[in-house]
Amino acid sequence: MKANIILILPLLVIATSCQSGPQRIDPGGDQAVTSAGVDFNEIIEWTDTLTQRMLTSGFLDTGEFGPQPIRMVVSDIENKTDLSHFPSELLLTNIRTSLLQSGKARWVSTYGEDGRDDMTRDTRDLANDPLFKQDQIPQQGTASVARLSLRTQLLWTHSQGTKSAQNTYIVRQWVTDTVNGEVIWEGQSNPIAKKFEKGSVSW
Amino acid sequence: MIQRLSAIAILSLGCLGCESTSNYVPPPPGALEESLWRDRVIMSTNVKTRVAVDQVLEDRQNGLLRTQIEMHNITSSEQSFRTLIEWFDVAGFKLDSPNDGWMSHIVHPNQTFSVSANAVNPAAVSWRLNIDTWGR
Repeated sequence: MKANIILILPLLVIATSCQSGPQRIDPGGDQAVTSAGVDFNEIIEWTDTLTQRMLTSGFLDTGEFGPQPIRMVVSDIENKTDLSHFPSELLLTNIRTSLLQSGKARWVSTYGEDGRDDMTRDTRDLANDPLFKQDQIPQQGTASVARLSLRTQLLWTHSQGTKSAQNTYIVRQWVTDTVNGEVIWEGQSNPIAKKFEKGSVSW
Repeated sequence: MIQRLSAIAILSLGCLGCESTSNYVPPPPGALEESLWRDRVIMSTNVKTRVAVDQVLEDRQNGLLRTQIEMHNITSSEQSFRTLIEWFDVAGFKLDSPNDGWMSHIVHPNQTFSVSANAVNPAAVSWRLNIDTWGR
């Protein structure tokens, strides 16, 4: 009996040490998990493509919407995919940051569907509060209004064969001139397609 | 007779000249000399035996630097690559981009493919492309 325990103990120690804990990996590298949905590195691919398409189309450079940076706001983000927890904020923040870095656009955060900040309105609400220096409170009617709005749809198709299935995802975006409601740019990401055996899905 | 021969010789030379000119395809205006891009395209050892760079284009559009690297799969099998483009300012410092990350490409046998990218920061004056194999 004692001999058995002596034999089993080292085996248990080895087995426990073989179980790997969390490890940091390159999110776009070979070790990244590939799911049947949309993965992190694919969102980065999408934002890169969409940003490029927006910036090279030249609609921000025509002068039609006033001097740069042009004021923009994020409109609705519609998720029409099977992914209930799609991280649309990740998609939007990369596009917003890219356009901001380009110096061609600036985002309005007082309204819209992403990246909102209520402090502009809250600061004005401090007017007549004796706690605060009234000369530091912005005057009414000084907040900016967006000239262009960015609307987003996440689209999905699902195909099924006898043994395998395919999910295909795409992002559609368009920019509207808020003065007249005309769409002045529209673009799509490249499709991300995932094929998998039925019953072997990891989301 | 000598005059006639001279005229024919001149015409023949002219035609030859025309022929060689019509076969010449000038590079696109934005094409870079190889000496300018050789050190900016970094391939892993594995990739060097699978990919060849055909041409590199570069220009500035709407104030932003853009580049396009045209390559082809020199093998007779499908290959998976991933690419990463980094941007640099005039002092050589790397510019952060929200879209920094490896992009994946599935390329058919002998297929020509392009990697194109736009700097989002107007301070970008140079770039570097890293290419590695991608184990899907």
